[in-house]
Amino acid sequence: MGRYLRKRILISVSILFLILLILFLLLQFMPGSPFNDAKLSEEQVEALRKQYGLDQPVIVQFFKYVGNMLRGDFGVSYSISPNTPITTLLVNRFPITLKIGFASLIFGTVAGVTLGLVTAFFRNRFVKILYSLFTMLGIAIPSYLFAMFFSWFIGYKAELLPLLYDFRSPFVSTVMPVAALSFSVTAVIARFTKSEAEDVMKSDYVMLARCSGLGSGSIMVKYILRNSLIPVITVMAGLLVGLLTGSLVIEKMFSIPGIGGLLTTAIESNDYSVVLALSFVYSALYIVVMLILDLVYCVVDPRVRLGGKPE
Amino acid sequence: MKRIKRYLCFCMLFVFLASMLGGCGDNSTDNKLTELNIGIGSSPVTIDPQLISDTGSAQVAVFFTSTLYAYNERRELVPELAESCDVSDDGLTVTYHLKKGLRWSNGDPLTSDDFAFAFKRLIDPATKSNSVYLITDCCRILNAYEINTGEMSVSELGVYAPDDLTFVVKLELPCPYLNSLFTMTNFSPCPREFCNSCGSSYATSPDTVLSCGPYILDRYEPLATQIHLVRNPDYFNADQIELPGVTLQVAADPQQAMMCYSSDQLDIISVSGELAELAQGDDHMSEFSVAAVLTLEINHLSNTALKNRNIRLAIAKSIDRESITRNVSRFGYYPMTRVIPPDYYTETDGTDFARDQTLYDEYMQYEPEKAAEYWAKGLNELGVSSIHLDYVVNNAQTKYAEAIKAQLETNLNGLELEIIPLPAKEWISRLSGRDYDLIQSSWVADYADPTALFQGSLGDGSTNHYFDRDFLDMYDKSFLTYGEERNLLLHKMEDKLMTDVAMIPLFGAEYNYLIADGVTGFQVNPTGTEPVITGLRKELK
Amino acid sequence: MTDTAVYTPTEQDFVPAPPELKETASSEAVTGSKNDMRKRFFAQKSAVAGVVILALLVLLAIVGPYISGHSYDEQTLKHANLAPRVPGLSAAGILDGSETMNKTGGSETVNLYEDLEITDEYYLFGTDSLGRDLFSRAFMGLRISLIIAAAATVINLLIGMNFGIISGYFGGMTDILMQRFIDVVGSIPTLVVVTLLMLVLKPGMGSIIIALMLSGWIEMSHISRAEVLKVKELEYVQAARTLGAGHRHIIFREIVPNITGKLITQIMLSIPSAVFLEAFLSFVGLGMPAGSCSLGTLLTDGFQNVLLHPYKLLPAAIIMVLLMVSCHLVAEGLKKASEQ
Repeated sequence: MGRYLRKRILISVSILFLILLILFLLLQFMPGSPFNDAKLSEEQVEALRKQYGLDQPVIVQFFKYVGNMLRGDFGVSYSISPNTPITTLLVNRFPITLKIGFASLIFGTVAGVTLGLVTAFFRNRFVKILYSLFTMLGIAIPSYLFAMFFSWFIGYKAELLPLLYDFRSPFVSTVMPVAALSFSVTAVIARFTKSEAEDVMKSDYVMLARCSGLGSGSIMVKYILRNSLIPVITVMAGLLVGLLTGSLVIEKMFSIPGIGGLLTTAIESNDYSVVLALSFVYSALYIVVMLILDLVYCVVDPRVRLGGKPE
Repeated sequence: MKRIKRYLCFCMLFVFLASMLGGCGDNSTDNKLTELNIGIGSSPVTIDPQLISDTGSAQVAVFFTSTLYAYNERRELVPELAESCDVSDDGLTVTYHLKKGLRWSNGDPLTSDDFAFAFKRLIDPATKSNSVYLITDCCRILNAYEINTGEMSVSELGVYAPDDLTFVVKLELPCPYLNSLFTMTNFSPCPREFCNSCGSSYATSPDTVLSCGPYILDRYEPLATQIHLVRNPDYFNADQIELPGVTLQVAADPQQAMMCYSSDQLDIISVSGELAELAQGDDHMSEFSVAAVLTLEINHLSNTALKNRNIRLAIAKSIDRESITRNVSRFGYYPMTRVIPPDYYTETDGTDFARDQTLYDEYMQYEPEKAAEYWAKGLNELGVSSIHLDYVVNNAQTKYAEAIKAQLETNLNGLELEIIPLPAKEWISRLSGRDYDLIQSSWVADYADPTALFQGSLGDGSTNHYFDRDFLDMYDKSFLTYGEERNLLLHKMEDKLMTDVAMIPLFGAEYNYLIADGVTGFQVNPTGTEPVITGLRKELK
Repeated sequence: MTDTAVYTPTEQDFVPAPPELKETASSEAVTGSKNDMRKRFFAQKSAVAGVVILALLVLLAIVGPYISGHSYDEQTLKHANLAPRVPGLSAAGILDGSETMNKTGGSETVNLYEDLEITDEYYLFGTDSLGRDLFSRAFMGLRISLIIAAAATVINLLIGMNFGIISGYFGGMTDILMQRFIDVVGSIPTLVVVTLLMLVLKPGMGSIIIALMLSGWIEMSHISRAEVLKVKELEYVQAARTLGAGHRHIIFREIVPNITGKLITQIMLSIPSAVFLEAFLSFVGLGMPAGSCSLGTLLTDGFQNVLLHPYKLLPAAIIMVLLMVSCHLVAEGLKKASEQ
């Protein structure tokens, strides 16, 4: 366990460094340095360069940059909110995105696992059709179309939920975005759970349990649920990427003040400094979640703990 | 089955946890009913009045700022923070007498020094405002140009505060439309001590900004998607403000905004483009004529071909504006074949400056055969058979560019256009940096005078490298003449631009808003830079 | 395997088999399993349906843009915003070119064909706001999207397969190094890779292909490595090795033919995900430049006015769903066929 943990952390740190290196290199080539904009004299630019440490060798600059990024100093926005420190922009936005992302992940997983297990367990025609419809649509339709669909029916026609994020009712106004985002999660998890559960049901130990007279309820919980749930953890990391991407569009549509909407705005107006900073934040978030999922997997699956590799 | 029930309980727990994550304790939404909810298209870039250079930011700042003069809900120019103003005989010294007892929202008195500080802050190179042209070009405040180029220090700007209630502006050239110009939020006062104590964080949060307008900023962060304001009891005209509060809600997706309006979640939304068709025939739709125009700017230096008048004329005459407004934009735009839109400026005799919109049809009307003739002539003079031009356009208006490109390329043999769609900020920097061959520009006049729409073709300060001695002389003279003589001069200037095909007018815009039942008093100032919000009322249904 | 061998065979113990023998041995094993697989695959109804739909879509992507007689980028401004009108059906009152708009002041039905007195034109899918035929555009969009996805997938396959095979086949230090490399590169979220790439490159087909490639090859290499590890230890590979076959022979004659099943399955999954990602990038503003035509830009354009003209979104959305569903059905069929 310890060795595995060390290895994983080491890899995570090196990924972070690689990303920082890429971002730093990109930063060198990007237009829009803080002093391009203003009408400054040569001497003033020189003084500014000195102040920001741009006269030092590149390698020193790089480590300074790494230090700044790790301390959470991401520089200032260039065009979408000129001269506002990016950290200021992130402080309130990050938790909102995180909340919505995790709510979608949890909601989607629970719904997906339920759907997958039910389909695998009850070989009912109606359930099967429902399952196929759900999974196919979830995979084939981009989240923004779901969002539009929900907005139209639930928000506009039925007037049940607010169409835009509202500080005065943060919970109610995030229901639709979460639903739209979790659709694809549900689809993927359901497919995965179903095939895992079917494998488990065919396995010898379930057969044995059945033969020894255990009721289907306890088989379901003791064997099928547990053994098919563990591998679900491995797909969650991949789904997280989808959620991050989905949040870009969904946050913009529902006017959610999160980092996804911020990134979309920054991309639309070519605000490089914000895009680079958010790339780092997204990568760091992703790496941390991957690490956590890996550790959880390590705890629940003894094979990994004992030196094997999750495949 | 019991186990399954337990599993279901487990699921419920998860859902519950998820909802906890979503945040608990939804406040009562009662005040949503009495307050006004206005949909805006994007978050403001900044709410620092002196830094504002776009209409999106200005429409937020008007709620908590106030200016010397202002437009009221009947579009009349009336004194706001000023009681009256005196103009010296030579027109170079303008003295404003402020109202008595003006206060900032923290209780501090608002004095003429706050105005002087604001004006100096606007010109100060350290502020890095993009709206400096307002006092170096639109009007010429004494020494403004020299301060901007760094030849003089900020303290030498021609604005003075001899006592708390008197604010004096000294100009280099008389400016007949000064009061109209000073309605812009950029000219709202700035509390000197408060601003200095906030440093660089001034106007970045409700705590770092003071209000002198009808409302106080209550909830705001940079790039906020929801801005909340409450009534300002210290506003000099507070009795007239009935709304307890206003929420400005960003609805970046116009369809979402439309649905919000239809389901009573927003009271006022702006509608434009194709979606406006959804609101056609609705009595809640209000039209506001404004001085917002779409033009095709020609770079007179980037390409030798564009120096040729026949080529420019051919381009101008092969755009079928009407077919684009009728089929592509459908609502919100009308074809324009001259620089000045109708109902924008009234001459001294009370007639509309631009009453005859067909005046320049000889140069601007769609006539493909004639265009082809000019084109052939032009190509002949240049000795080339094909021309390649970059056509820069703002991302949001690519559709018109596509239509214009198709028309130009069909009508003019050998023309090749490359559309370069850019985000707003880069598009503006291409325009002001004159880095394009053709650029589709949209411009809202800053003040109610024809010269506001000539700004783009003014020599050094131009956005199109059009450099004509006569035109510049006429512009300088326009500050010194009055009445009928000035009208003639302005007409001559427009003549000059059109006969030279210095730029190609495309469309004029009108603003459309959907305003819910019970909401009254919404207005847009005559130029279209800012809404007028002092008269807003909402009756409960 | 534990090393309990007492006798180490020397080179003299074995004589390399004549080339003909090697050929028959390997090809038999391969063709045998391939035939079975084909049978099992076509026995599944859903998989066959998937193949048929997919074939139809590919056919339409090739000929679709030429059927209506309007080129995909031909603008007829007078014919802007026309609703779908189908020759035979219009008499029956459906798809006759009329559309009902849910305006804020109440719903309203218009027929622009009648208003504009257009009698001889039938736009099967309607037209967009510049009067371009959506029928041609939809299938042109499908073609562009398929080209992007296919190009990205082929490159993915080449890079990923080679990487995976080398890593899996040679094992040892090579494997460890290559896997660490993948761990690091693969942990950068796709979104970030694509966003950064789009900042550097000009938007267009080439850059989207590169972006899709950068994010897709890792999965491909994972699969080929896992398969190689499995196949490597099987009897026929061992046999070939014992018979003295070189690395190249073993890799290309023994291993590659036997992992193609899995790889084709992966291809069938990565084409739709590439199409999906392209659609997404267009929506965020990182995709194909304005004026070009792909499923992504069509979906985005249609989406922006779906409240007003839902018919503009439908063709692209339906094509998208059909493409995704059929690819998944085929992939699922392949998976089942190779598992049994």
